[in-house]
Amino acid sequence: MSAHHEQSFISKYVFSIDHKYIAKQYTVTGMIFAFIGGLFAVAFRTQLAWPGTNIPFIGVLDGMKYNMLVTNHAMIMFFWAGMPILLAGLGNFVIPLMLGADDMAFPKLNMLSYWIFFVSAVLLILSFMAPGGGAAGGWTMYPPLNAQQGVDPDANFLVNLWTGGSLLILAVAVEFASMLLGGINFLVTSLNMRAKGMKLMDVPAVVWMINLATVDFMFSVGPLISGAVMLLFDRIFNTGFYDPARGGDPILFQHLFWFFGHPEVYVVLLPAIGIVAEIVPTFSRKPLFASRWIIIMATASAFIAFIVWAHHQFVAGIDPRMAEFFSITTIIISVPFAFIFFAVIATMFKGQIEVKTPMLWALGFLVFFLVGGVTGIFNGSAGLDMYIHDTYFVIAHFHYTLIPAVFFAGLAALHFWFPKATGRMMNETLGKLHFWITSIGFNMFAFPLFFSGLYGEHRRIFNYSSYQPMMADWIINIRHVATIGAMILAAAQVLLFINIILSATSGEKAGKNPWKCNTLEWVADSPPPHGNFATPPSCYRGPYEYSNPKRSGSDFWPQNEQ
Amino acid sequence: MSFLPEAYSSVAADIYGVFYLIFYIVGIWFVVTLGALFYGVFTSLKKQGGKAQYITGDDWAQSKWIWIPLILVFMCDLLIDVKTANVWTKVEIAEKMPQNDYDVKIVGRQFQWEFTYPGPDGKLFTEDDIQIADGNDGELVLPVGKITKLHLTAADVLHSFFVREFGFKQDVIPGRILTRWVEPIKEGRIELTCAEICGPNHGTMRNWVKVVSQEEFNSFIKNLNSGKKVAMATK
Ligand code: HEM
Ligand SMILES: [Cu+2]
Ligand SMILES: [Cu+2]
Repeated sequence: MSAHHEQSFISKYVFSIDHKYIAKQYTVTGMIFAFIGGLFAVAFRTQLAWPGTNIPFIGVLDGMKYNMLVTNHAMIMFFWAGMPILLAGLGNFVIPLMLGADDMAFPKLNMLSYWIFFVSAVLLILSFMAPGGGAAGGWTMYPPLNAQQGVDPDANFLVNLWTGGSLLILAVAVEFASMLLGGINFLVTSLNMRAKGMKLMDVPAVVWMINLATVDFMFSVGPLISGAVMLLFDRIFNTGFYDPARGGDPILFQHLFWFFGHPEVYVVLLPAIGIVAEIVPTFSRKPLFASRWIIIMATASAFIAFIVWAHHQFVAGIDPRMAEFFSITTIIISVPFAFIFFAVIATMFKGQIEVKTPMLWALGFLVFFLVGGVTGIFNGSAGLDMYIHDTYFVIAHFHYTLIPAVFFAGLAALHFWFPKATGRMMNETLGKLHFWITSIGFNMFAFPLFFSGLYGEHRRIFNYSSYQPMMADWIINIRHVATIGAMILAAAQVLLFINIILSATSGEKAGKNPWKCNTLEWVADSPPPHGNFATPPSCYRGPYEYSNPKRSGSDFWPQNEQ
Repeated sequence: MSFLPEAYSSVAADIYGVFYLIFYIVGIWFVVTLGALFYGVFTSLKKQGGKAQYITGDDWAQSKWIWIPLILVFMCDLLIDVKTANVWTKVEIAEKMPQNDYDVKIVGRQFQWEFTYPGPDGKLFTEDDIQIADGNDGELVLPVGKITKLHLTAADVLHSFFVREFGFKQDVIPGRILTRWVEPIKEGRIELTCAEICGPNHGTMRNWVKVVSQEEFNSFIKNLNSGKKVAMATK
C-alpha cells in the first residue's frame, strides 16, 4: 500500500495517480469528444436535409468531406467517447471504491494509460490536419479503398504515413494500448483488492460488467491490431496484404475487423447494463432480481459475442453457408439479454420507486434500448439482412443501442455518482429538463430512419439527388425531422453543461450516502480523499439487500455493516 | 406496411416475408415488455409510508416469471432462425440455384456499373463478349420471367450491387467473381445503386436495371451483337 501524503500541483492535477482523478480526466475528455462527434453528426445531417448548406468551419460538404465526417464521427463516438466514458472513466471511478480498495493495483500504470490515451487523441486531431484531410473510407476501414485512399504508391513512406487514413490507424492503435493498460488494472484490482470478506458474488454488477467488457476487449483486440498493421503496411510500405492482384485478400480484413468489432459493441453495452443494474435496485428499494443469474447471463453473452462477428458480412462475399451459422448465433444471443432485461424489469415490481434523475436516465435506457434490441433481430436474420444491410434501418438500429448505452446509461451514471465525485448533488429540475429534451431530440433523429431505411435508403451518401425514389416528399420530410432532432439532441447538452458547472460549484452538499445505497463507495467521504477510506471497510453481504425484513429500522443494509 | 419497395424479383416477396414474420413476433414482445415495464413502474411508485417487498428472485416461484417468458423468447428465436435460413438458402446457396437461362457479368468500378453480355457465340467469358460501359447511364437489361445468373465482380475497390426492388444486395470484390441469380417478375426501369462505400463519389454511383419482355430482350441482344445503339467496351 502506498502512503498518501500531500501532493504537488502537477502530481495532483496533471500526472495524477489517484484513480478518481484519472476517472475524471477520462470522463471529461470523453465528454468533450462526444460533443465533437455529435457536432460532426449535426454537420453531415445538415447536408442531408439541406444539401449544399455552407457549414461553419467546414464549408459545403462534397462526397469526400461528407465521408470524412461520417468516418470520424463513428471513430470518435466509439474510441474517444464511448470507451473512455463507460469503460475507462466509469471503471476507474467505481472499481476501487466499490471494492473497498484505496486505489488501483498499479496507479502509475493507470496514469500512463490516460496519457497514452491523450497521445492517441492528439494523433486523431493530427489526422484531420494531414494533407488531403481526415480518413474518409468509413469507420470500418475496409480495404482496398482504405489501403489506397490518400496514398501515393510512389511516394516515400513518411509521406504516406502523414495521411488521414494512416494517422487514424495509428491513433486507434495507440488508443487500444491505453485501454489495454487500463484493462490490466481493472482485472488485477478486481481479483486481488476486494475488501475483506467480499466474495466474487458480492461484487456489484457494474464491476462485473466492466470486467467482462474488459475481457471482451482484451481477447478481441489482438486480431484487429494485426489486421490494422497489415492495412498500415499496405498504405505506407506498398505491401499487398489486401490487394487481390498481388495475392492478398480484402475479406481477411473484414474478419479481423469484426472479430473485434462485435465484441467492441459489448464493451460499450455491458458497462451500461451494469450501471442500470445498480441504479434500478437503489431507486426501487428492492434487491436486483436474480442477480446471480444476471451475472451468469452477462458472462454467457460476453462469450457468445465472439461467435457472431460475421453477421456484419452476410453479403460481403463470404461463403453463404457460413451466414446460416452466424445468423443463428446472432439471434440466440437475444436470450441472455432478454433475461437481463426481464430481471431488471422484475426488480421494479412491488418496489417503492423514486424517479430521481439517475433513475429517469436508467428508465430511458431501458425503453430506448428495447427498440435497439428488438430491431437487432431484423439485422441478425441473414434472409432479411441481404435487403436492409447498409441502409438507414441499420443506422437507426445501432443508434438505438449505442445512444442509450453511451448517453442514457452514461448520464445515469454521471447523475448517480456525481455526488460522490464532487460532494455535491446535481440539480434535479435541470436534469429532468435535460432528459426530456434529449429524449425528444434522440427519437426525432433516430426513429424516422427506420422507415427510410426500409424503403431502401442506403447509407454513407452525401446527396440523394442521384436516386429518384429517395427524393420522394415523405423521405425528404424524414430527413428534415431527423436533422432537426439531431440538432435538438446536441443543443440539449448545453443544459448538461450548465448543470455540471452550477452543481459542482454551488450544488446542495451531498453527504456520504445521498441515495441510501449499499455499496462500499458510499461509505467513503464525498468526495473521497486520496486513499479513499479512513479505515478499509469489510464486506458482510451482497450489494442488493434493500428492504430486507431481517434488518429493522432502515430499508437498506450497507455491505460493510454487520 | 408499404414502406418496402414494390417487388420486382421472384425472391423479394420471400425476403419481405421474413420482415413481416419478425415484425409481428418482435412487435408483440416489444409491446408486452414495454407494457410490463410501465406497469411495473407506475404500480410501484413510492407511497408515503409504503414498504418495498423483499423479492430476491432466487427461487423458482419468483424467477419463473422470467424463465418462462425466456423460454418463449427462445422458441420465437428458433422460429425466426428456420424461416430466415430457408429464405437465405433459396436466394444464396449455390446448390439450390435454379437452372438459368441467361448469363451476365456485372462489374463495379468507381463510380459506375458495367455489364458484359455473351457475344454471338452465346457464351459468357469468351473472346467475343460485349461490354456496356456507359457511365451512369448504362442499363442492365434483363428479360422478365427468365432466370439470369449474375456474375459479380469489381474493378478497383469494394462496391455493392443493390437493386432495392429485387430485395437483396451483394458486395462485389476485385479479383473474385460471385454468382447470384435473379428472376425479374415485372417490367420497368429501376435503379441499380452501390451500397458499399467506394470513395468520394459513392453518393452518385447509380445505374439502371431495365426489365423487358422476351421480344425486347431478343432484339436488345441482336442489336448488341450488331454493334448498334450501345457504347462498346474500351476496356
Ligand atoms: C449526437 C448523436 C448522434 C447522431 C445525430 C448520429 C448520427 C449519425 C448518422 C446520421 C449516421 C449515418 C451517416 C451515413 O451513413 O451517411 C451515423 C453513423 C454512425 N454513427 Fe452516429 N450519431 C450519433 C451518435 C452516435 C454514437 C453515440 C455512436 C457510437 C457510440 C455512433 C456511432 C455511429 C457509427 C458506428 C456510424 C457508422 C459510420 C459509418 O458508416 O462509417 N453515433 N451517425
Ligand atoms: Cu455485431
Ligand atoms: Cu459505392
